[in-house]
Amino acid sequence: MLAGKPITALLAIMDLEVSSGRVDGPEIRELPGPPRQSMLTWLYDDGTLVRYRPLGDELLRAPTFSIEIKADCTRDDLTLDNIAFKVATSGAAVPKRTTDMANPYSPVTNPIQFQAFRDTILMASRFGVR
Amino acid sequence: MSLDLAFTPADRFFELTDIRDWLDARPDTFEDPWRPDRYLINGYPETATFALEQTFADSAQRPLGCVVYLSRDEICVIQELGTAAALRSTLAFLLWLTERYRCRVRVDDKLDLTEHVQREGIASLYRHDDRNAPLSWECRLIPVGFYADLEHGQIYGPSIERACRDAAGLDDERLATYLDGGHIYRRVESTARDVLDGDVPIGPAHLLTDGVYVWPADLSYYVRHYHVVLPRAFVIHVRTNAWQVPRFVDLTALPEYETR
Repeated sequence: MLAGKPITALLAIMDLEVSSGRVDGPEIRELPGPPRQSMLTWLYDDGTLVRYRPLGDELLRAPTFSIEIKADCTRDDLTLDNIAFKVATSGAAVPKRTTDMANPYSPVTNPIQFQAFRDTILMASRFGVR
Repeated sequence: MSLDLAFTPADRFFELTDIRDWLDARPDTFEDPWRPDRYLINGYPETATFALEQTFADSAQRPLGCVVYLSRDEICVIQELGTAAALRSTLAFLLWLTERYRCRVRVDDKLDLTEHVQREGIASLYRHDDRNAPLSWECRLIPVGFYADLEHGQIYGPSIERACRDAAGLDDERLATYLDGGHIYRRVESTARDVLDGDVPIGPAHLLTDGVYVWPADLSYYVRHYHVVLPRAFVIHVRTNAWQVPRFVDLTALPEYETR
């Protein structure tokens, strides 16, 4: 449902989610960066966490959404420790850290392949990228 | 936990010269040629030079490792893209930094880890495997000068053509003399040839070492004739050795170097 949608459409969907009462309004976190930015997070009762970085991150300098699933709804989500996994645009589960996945390539003898594999996995969980 | 972290000095500014000196001496780390004050910690000396070349070729290259942004009043460490080796190397940097400076450590405006770090140490933020692993080059010889274009080069070694300079560097002769003074780590029967000038024979393609680095014997030739630029960390290492290869190196105790 969300795959391929532009950022504006995703923001509109989140507005609708809030106005229909399915989720509270976003919490704002100031990230030191760079780039310094205000990240918005929406937390659903079932532990689904939506993050929006208007300036992107080191991997992609563009506005991006990510969807994550908390391991324990009662604990905070300030670090990745309480995140079980991220969700790909296809709906599949994606590792939350690059070091959580078994990359079949060696970063020493096959750095290009290693990086391509890593970036494919990381990009899979970035919504709003066209 | 591979977080992105921001460090601010509690009672003074960061001395960037010291911090740069520390980072420059790391064989797996380089400064972004396009963005000063941005360092990339690759984790592996073997691929750091390759990653540097990739960054040269494409300024928007996604980093293969952790990223450190330096400024006098804040140092930011981006770790999401780091391999386990890069995380371990970044931890070494942060251990050094937090020993030297009393820092405020935070993830964002909601999560301040200062007290936790003061109580438990910066290493407590890292997973057991990451913090207890050796640095990737601790148990290995660090290769230098294995240009991809050479017969005995590494597949992902740097390009010798891109390493060449028109004019001699200030320390070229001293570096070349140091390289010539290496102990023979592995004898090689074949003769190295000048790949830039019609395969002119140079000499035996032995591998030489100073106990920390390993290099092909023809490297000094390329330094003298083509003024090839050597990695900054290696130059610092040579300078630290007072431009002389240590006289005694226990060659039998050196780790195996795998040529690729």
